[in-house]
Amino acid sequence: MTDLLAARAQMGLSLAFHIIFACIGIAMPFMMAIAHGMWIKTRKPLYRTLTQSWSKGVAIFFVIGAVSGTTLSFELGLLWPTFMRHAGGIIGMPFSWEGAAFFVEAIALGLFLYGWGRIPEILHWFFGLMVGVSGVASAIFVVAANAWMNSPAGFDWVNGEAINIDPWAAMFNEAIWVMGWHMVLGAFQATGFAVGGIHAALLLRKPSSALHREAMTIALAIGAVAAFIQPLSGHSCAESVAHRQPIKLAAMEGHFETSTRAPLLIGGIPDEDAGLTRYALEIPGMLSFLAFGHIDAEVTGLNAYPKENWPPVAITHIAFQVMVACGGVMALLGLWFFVLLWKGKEKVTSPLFLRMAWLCTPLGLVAVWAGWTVTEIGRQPWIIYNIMRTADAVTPMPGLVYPFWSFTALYIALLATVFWLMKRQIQALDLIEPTE
Amino acid sequence: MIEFIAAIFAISLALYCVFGGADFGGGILELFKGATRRRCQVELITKAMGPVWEANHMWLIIAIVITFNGFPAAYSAISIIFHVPLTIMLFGIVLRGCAFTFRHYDVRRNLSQKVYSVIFAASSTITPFMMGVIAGSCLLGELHSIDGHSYWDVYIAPWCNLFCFAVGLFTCCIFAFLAAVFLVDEAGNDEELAVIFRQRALVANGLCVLSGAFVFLTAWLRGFQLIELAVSNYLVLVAFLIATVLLLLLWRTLLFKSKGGRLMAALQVVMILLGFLGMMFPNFIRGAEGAGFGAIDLYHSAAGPLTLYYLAWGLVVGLFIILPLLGYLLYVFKAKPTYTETDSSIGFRID
Repeated sequence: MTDLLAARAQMGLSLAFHIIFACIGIAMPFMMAIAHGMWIKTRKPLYRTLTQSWSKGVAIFFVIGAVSGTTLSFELGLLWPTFMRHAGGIIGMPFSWEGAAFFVEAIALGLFLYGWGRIPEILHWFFGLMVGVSGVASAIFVVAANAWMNSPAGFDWVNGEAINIDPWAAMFNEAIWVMGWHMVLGAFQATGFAVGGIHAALLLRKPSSALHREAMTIALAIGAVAAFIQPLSGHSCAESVAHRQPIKLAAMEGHFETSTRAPLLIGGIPDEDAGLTRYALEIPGMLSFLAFGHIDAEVTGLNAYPKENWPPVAITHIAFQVMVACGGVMALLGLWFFVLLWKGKEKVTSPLFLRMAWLCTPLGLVAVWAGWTVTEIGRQPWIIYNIMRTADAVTPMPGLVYPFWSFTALYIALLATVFWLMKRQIQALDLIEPTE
Repeated sequence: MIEFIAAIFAISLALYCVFGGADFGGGILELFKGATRRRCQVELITKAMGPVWEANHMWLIIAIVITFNGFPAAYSAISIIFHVPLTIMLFGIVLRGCAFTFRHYDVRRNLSQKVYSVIFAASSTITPFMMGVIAGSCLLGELHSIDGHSYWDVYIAPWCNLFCFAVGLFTCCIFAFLAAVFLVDEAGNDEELAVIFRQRALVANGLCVLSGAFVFLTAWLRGFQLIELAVSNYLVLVAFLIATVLLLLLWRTLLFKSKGGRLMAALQVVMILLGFLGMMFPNFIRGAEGAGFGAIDLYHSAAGPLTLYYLAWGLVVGLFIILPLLGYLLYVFKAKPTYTETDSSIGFRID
C-alpha cells in the first residue's frame, strides 16, 4: 500500500465512520424533542420511556461521534499538512464556527441527559431541542469547508501560494447551501429510516407495543418527509455541479462524449479504457434537460479533459446510481407509510409494511456513504478543485500503512461494541416497557 | 491582533488544563483506589464528570481550531513532526470517551464494567502523559530536518527521551492532584470519602513536587538549560513563584480542611501553564529554524490579516454565546456537591 493510498484510505474510513454518528447526532435530538414534547403534553408514560430509552442510545452514539470528530480534526493535519498549511487560513472560519456550535451542543447535551428533575421542565425540553439545532448548524459549517474544496473561492492562487484571502467569501462559496442542506436532509433520512426500521422489527416481534409503534411513526415520518424533499435538493446539487465541476458531472453520469441531447444513463458500468459505459438504460436528452434545463444543452464529456484529471469514473458513477436508487426506494416506502397512516394509526403495523421497513433500515446510511463517495472521489485528483492535487497535499512522514491499520482495528472494535450495546439495550427495553 | 488571539489560545489551554485536566485526573485516581470505599470513589468520579466532561474537552478543540485557522503553518509543522505522539494521544482520547460513556450507559452491569474501567483508567493516564511529552518536546526543541535524517531522528527522537517523559509524568501528577482536590468538595458531607480524597490530594501534591524536580534533573542531565530559561523571563519567574506559594497554602488548606481548595488548585495549574507558555513565547516549537522547518512561532506562521480579524471576532462572539451556557451547566451540576444528604441515603455506602 503506498503512503498516499494509506492516507486516502484512513481519511475515507475515518469520515465514513464519523458520519454514522454525526447523522444520529443531527437528527435524533429532534425525534427526542417530539417524544419528550408528547410526554409533557399527554403525560403518557410510554413517551417518557421512549425519550429516556432513546437518550441512552443517543448518549452512546454521541460520544463516538464526538471523539471521531476530534480524530478528524487531528487527521486533517496528520495526513494532509500541506493542504492545511495553505487552506487553514482560508477555510478555517467555518471550522471555528463548527467548534463553537459543537461546544453549545455538548453543553446542551449534558443539560438534557442529566437534567431530568434538576432544571425546569420547559427549559429541559428546550436544551434537548438545542442539541439538534446546534447539530444542524455544525453540519452546515463543516460541509461549507468541503464545499470550498469543491468550489474554491475567496483567494487568488499565485505561484503556489494563496494571496488576497477573504475568509467570508471562502466560507460562503457557491456550493455551501446546496451541499449543506443536501447533507442535513440526508442525515434525517439516514436516522429516520434506521431508527424506524429497528422499531419496525421490534414491532413485528411485539405487535401490541404502542411504544414501538409511536417510535417508528415519529422516525419514519421524519425520514419520509426528508426523502420527499431530497430529490429536489439533489437536483440543485447536480445543477450546481454541472456548472462548477463539469468533469465530476460527467463521471457521475458515466458520460464520455460531449454532446447535446445527452442521454441520462440509469445503471451501467463505465469502462475508462474503452471510453464508454456498458449495460446502461439510456433516456435520450434527459441529462441535458436535468443538468441545464433544456434538451439541446451541451453536456461536456470526460473525453474533453486530459486523462490525468479524470476522477475514478466507475466508482463515482456506480456510487451515484446507488445513492439515487436508495433515495427512490426510501421515497416509495415513505409514500406507503403516509398512505397507511392516513388510513388509520394502527394500519402502520401491517406485517408486510413492517418487514419492508426493516429491510430498508440501512438505506439512508448507504445513501449518505454513496453520496459522499460521489463528491469526494468525483473531486479527485484534486484536494482543492483545479488548485491543489491530493498527491501534493499528503504528509512527508512514511509508513502511513501502520496508523491506517491501527485506526481500522479501532473503528471495527468500536462498531462491534456499539452493536452489542444496542442489542443489550433493546433486550432491556423489552423488560421495562409500560403497557400504554 | 496576533497577541489577542494568542491570549485567547492561552486562556483556552488554561481552561482545558483545569477542567479537562480534572477529568483526566479523575481517571488516573481510579488506578489508585486503595482498600476502602472503592466503588463509591468510582461512583463519585463518574457522577462528578458525567454532565460536564464533553463540554470540558471542547477547550482543546477551540485551541486546535485557533491554531489551524490563525497559525496554519505552525499547525502543519506540528502535525508532521509530532505525528506519532499525536496519534497515540488520539487513541487515548477516543478510548477514554467511549469507555467512560459505555460504562455509564451499558444497561447490563457485569464483567463488561471491569473492562470499561481498565480502558478508562489506562487511557486517562496515557493521554495527559502524551500531552506532557509533546509539551516538553516543544520546549526542548531538539528537532532534525527531514532531509538527511533517519525516521527515528525526525519523528521519534524529539519526544522519546527522559526529559519529555518526565514532563509527561509531571502532567499526570498535577492533573491527579487537581482531581483529588476537586473531589474533596464533590464528596459533600460524606466525610469518609472526603478524607480519602484529601489523603490522595496530599500524596499527589508531594508527587507533583518530586516529579517537578525530576523534570529539572532530566533537563540538567541532557544539558538543557531549563533553569536559566525559567529565570530569564520575569513573567515565568512570577508564575512559578505564585505556584510554589499556592502549593504551601494548599498543603495547609488540605491539612486543616479549610475552604478554597478548588480555586487554589486551579490557580496553581494555571500558573504552571503560564510559566510554560512564558518560556515558550512566541514559539509553538522552539529550535525549529535550525531544523529546516522555518520559525514555528506566532508571528511567522500567522495567517493573513483578514483571517485573523474574522478569527478574533468569531472567538469573541462564540465565547459570548458559550460562556453563559457553560456557566449555567456548571451552576446546575456544581453549585452543590455531587453527594448531598439525599444522595448519601440511597445506598451508595455499600462497597
